[in-house]
Amino acid sequence: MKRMIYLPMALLIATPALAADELHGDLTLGMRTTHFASDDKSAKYDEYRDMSDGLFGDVNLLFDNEAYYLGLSIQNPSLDDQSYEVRGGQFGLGRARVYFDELNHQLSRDALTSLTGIGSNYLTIPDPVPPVLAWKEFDYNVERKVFGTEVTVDPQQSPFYVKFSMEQQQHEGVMPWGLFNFSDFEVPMPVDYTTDNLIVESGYRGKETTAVLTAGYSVFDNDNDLLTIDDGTDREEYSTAADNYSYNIGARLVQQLPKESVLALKASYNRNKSEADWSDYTQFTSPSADGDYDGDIEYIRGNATLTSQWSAMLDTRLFYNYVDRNNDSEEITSLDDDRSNHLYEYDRHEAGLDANYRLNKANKLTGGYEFTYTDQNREDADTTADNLLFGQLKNTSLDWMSAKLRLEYLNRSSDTNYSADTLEGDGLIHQFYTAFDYADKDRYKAKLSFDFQPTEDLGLGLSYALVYDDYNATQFGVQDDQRHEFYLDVNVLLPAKIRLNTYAGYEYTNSSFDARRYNPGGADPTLPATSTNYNWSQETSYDFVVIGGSLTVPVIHQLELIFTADHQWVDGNIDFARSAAAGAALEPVSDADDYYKTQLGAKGIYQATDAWSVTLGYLYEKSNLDEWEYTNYTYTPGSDYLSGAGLDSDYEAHQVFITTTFHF
Amino acid sequence: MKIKYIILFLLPLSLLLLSFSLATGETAGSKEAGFIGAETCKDCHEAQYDSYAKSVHFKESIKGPQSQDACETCHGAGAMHVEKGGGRDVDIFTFDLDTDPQAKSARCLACHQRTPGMDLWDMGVHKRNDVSCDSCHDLHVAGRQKPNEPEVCFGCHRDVKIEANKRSHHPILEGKVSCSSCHSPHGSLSKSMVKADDPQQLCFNCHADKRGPAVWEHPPVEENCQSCHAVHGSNHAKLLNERIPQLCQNCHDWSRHPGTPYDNTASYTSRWDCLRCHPAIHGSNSPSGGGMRYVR
Repeated sequence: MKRMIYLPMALLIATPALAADELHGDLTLGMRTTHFASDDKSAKYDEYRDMSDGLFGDVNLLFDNEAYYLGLSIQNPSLDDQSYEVRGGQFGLGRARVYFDELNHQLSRDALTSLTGIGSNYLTIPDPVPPVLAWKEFDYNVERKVFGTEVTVDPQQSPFYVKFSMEQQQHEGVMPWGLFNFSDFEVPMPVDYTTDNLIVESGYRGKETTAVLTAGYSVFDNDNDLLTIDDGTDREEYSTAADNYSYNIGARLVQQLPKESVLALKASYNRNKSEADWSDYTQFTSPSADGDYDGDIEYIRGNATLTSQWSAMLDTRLFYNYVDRNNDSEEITSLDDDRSNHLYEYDRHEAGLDANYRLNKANKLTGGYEFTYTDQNREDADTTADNLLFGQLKNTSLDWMSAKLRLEYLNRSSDTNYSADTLEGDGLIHQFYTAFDYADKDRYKAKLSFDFQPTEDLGLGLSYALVYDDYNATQFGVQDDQRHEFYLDVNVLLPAKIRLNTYAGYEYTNSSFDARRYNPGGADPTLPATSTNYNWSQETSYDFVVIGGSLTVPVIHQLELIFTADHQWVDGNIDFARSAAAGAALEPVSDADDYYKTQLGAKGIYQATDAWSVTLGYLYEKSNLDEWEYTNYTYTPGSDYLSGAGLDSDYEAHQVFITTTFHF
Repeated sequence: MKIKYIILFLLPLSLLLLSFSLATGETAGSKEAGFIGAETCKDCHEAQYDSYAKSVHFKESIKGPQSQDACETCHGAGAMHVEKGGGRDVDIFTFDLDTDPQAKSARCLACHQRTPGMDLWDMGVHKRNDVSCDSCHDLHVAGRQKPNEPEVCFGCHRDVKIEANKRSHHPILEGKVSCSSCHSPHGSLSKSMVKADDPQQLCFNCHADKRGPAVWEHPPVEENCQSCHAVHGSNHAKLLNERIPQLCQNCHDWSRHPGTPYDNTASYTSRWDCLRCHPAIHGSNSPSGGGMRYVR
């Protein structure tokens, strides 16, 4: 694979010969080296990218003439984030592309484990477990490779078109997984997934009518049907993602109507099926007679949308959506502890109307109402009704400014599936506790934004948004939450063609929460507080700040300097409270996902000729995480065993690079 | 097995449509009066002409600007403009900031209404918020005229730009996921113009291991991935909306550990978060009843 780096190099040398009139593109070849302030390279630094020292390059070629085109794009050949694309087509007839894309998702480096069999689905715990110093080192990462092709036949002189796309995704690696029954081991779960996707779309476009048929088919295959842990005495078996497949078919019709109205009708059918193979389990007996589990869920969806332009001032949109989720999966009752699975289903209806009214050339008013009703058989929730009202005013009175104010109000009311008459024991908590995702609430949203362009050389954007949720009927659970967002960006062209682009953001989130801690039999919140049974509350808040930008300075005609900076940080805090009768005051978590990240860059681009440029640059990155979970971290807390997943978050890196680019 | 029959049905159907497509044809559009030709425009607008000449719209094989009236296909007949001595907006259509966005898009849709997917332009949020084609596309460039993602999208979606650069994020800035990987900017019947009937079906395109159906389902996974995940980016690990255990406790209370406050003095065992013992949170496939609590 490493030899692929020679491809852009060879192309760079051969460029003058390639530089025919009908060939456009650019070739870039570079070299870089990175120095880390500490010995270890954090996975966070190259979570989605390969920043290895040495050569790197890009190729972008496009050949075209009056009738055809053919393009080639290569990014980072030979590196773990390489991608290739060949695309071509005939103007006015169709196009096709073939692509390959690779991504090595680095999750955590230098993890440690005493287990043997890393990467397989059979992990063995040595007896006795050796001291941490004797554990093996490994990396948590998942490599993703995507191969695909797309073909579109779309003749310009025909009302018909056809599109095909096929893609295969391969995921391979290990990710952290928890085991609850083996002294809380944190283990490398093997990932060997293959997903194949096929999509077909055919359509007819008439002057007033468009009709489209779509079909999709997706197959997921997991090479590991279960994960086995063996400590020499016992074997424990854990389930993994089941093989599954999904298909969907759909049709839509879009019809132009009088009054510049457009009606869109859509219907689709989607079925997801899975098969969990239980034949290899030895610890548990299959509760299904045929030794496997058959999952089977279908979705039936319908949509109707009508847009109308009643006049130059007024346009409207009316819509209705319907979803019916039917669960025809197998019902089982486990043989080890007599538990039955719950087949979750729902119907959802959404309807809404919104209108845009142009008061005059400079003012546009938008308003609307949406209603959503969900009927489900969740264990806790029965029906949920959402009523959403919104309004928006946009003003462009001034040539150099536009302003927009949007207000939203949502009211949610739900019926639970719990009846106080039937609750007993620990389940009594359901009389008092409500999950946030279906709890009754009022939500208020406001957003105000301005865009200024007083001169061609100055642009400024400013926005503020507020979201406030009031869970007014909740005794235990989320009580309220709020979110404030401020964003600013400024783009200025200064004298001497110096360009400054800056941005800043501030976000503040806060939520309050009440709950009850109890031992079996103590769910009633009116019972006197004891050390094991008490009510408590929690307030969570996060401040997030980001500031950054770039400064481009043309030094001389051929030389341009570009400076970039980005700094962001988070300060999270969680406060707790409980009555004194429950014990000592609870200690706040003051380092809740606190982090900062700094990126600085400086580069000079020397344009040697119209076609050839050289760039020399420096990049600095530093990241630091202060999270209570990792404070005073130990691999063997009590009788537990951890592997250090996520522990390697911090890094400080200096990179120097040089690239040369040939444009033609 | 049914799916094989569906595909076997669709393939010949597609080929049938293709054969229709190659067999049918339309006549070229007629010319309006007052057209002056691109060479006249070039006399005053050479830079614009040169950039246009490098673009795909200059191809004569495309039934569009060049094969019809070149510059005037989009800017309108220029005779009056020339007669009056030129000047910005003088009897000529320009794609300026203060030009009615619907009028600008109408120029493009005259040809591109038939582009696959553009039939839903009227249904989309972009049109209804005065986004016009030239907000994202620049015709006067060489080669492909696809907008440069994500920069073009970030120009309006400032919040997403910030989110995409947070500590935990999808690889948008790294170029491995683009905005149009998940959204249909030209219109859709789905919320947020996602490229699927609902958000979770979209996520399953890449995360098919979460698709199930699992033996022991976790309803939020089946309803909406966004109940727990901030899809563009988050300050919390795994793109979560909230730190664990707070996220889980927003829905779960029970005797002993689910309802326990995990303050700064809590035992280390709890630190690896709820997923430490409940890893199969997206749904368990265990034959054991332990799957009900996602521990196996």
